Amino acid sequence: MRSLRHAKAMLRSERVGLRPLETQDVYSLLKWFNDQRVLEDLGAEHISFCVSLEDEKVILERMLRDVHAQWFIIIKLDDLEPIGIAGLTNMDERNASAEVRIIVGEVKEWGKGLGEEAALLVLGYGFDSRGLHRIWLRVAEYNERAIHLYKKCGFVEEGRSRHDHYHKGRWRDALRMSILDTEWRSG
Amino acid sequence: MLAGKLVRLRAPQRADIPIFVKWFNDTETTRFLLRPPPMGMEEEESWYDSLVSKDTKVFCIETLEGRLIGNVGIIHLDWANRNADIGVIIGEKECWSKGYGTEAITLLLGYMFDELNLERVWLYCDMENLRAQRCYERCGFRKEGVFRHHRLQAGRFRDDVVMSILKQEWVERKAH
Repeated sequence: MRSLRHAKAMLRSERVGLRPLETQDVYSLLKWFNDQRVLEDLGAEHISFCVSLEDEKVILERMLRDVHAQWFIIIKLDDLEPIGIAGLTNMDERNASAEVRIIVGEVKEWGKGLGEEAALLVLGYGFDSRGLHRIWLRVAEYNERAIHLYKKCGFVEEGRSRHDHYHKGRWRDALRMSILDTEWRSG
Repeated sequence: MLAGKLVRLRAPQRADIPIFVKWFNDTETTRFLLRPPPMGMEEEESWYDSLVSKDTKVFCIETLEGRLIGNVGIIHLDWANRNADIGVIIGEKECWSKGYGTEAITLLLGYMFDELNLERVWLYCDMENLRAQRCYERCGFRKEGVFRHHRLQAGRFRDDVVMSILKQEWVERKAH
């Protein structure tokens, strides 16, 4: 297996960088998406409970082939270790909009503000390199850490998907949030 | 991964296959198995490959120390009617009668009722397999009928007991 340890980050901020997602990252994804602490707050739409290596390979292959998505692995710049995945998906070129997803899968890296750095890099990429006008996201109503992070990045709540998914024995809502290019540039 | 006090459920991996084959070729372990043994490596590998991208998931049961002792899983998922049947095997014989199966099934039921929002989970087992029936009852299943002469095994038609647990029953059990 070709080592990705020395892969250069294409987009960098102070402590984290983003590099393109590669087939070899399947082992990182497998680890993160089998960690109940990571899955817990994602909202059931994204939960594929107990994925096997073979399941994850199929999912990854689809992600890489999707022409309406651009995925990155978030790495720490000090040791180049992968800590999560971020990207734009559901890209609508006609309307210059896309959905953003950010997951820090390495639990030991939580609470350090690395997710926020990664989020700002993805937003910069979306608005400045891809010419997007609007970037939106979906977040489970109980994922307070994520909601806090998105607000800090400039997202505003624009709606609520009522009874979006079933979790812990009841229907839960998801928030819809978005940020426009004008807000990004003035922020 | 879903952890309880004794066991946790994890995804199966290719390296587990020889262990599955060992279980499925032990006459004592397979005495009440609904699918007739023997089972070879290739058969088991093609079964493993058939699991990819399916809703009908198989989970490995391992002790909290990480020892693989059995499997539990969803056999058919009927989304329209929101019901599913399940199967379980504790392949390591010295792990029988220790509550591992009961906890593994309870973890699976939690996933099926609280995350998948199913209405009914059911199974059937050999009428003579009293140990399994006691385990299922401890998990909250109730006997609801008998499939008479449902399976031919070792030259004899066997009766199977059908058991089920409904969402409401699961919710009430959790409240206690």
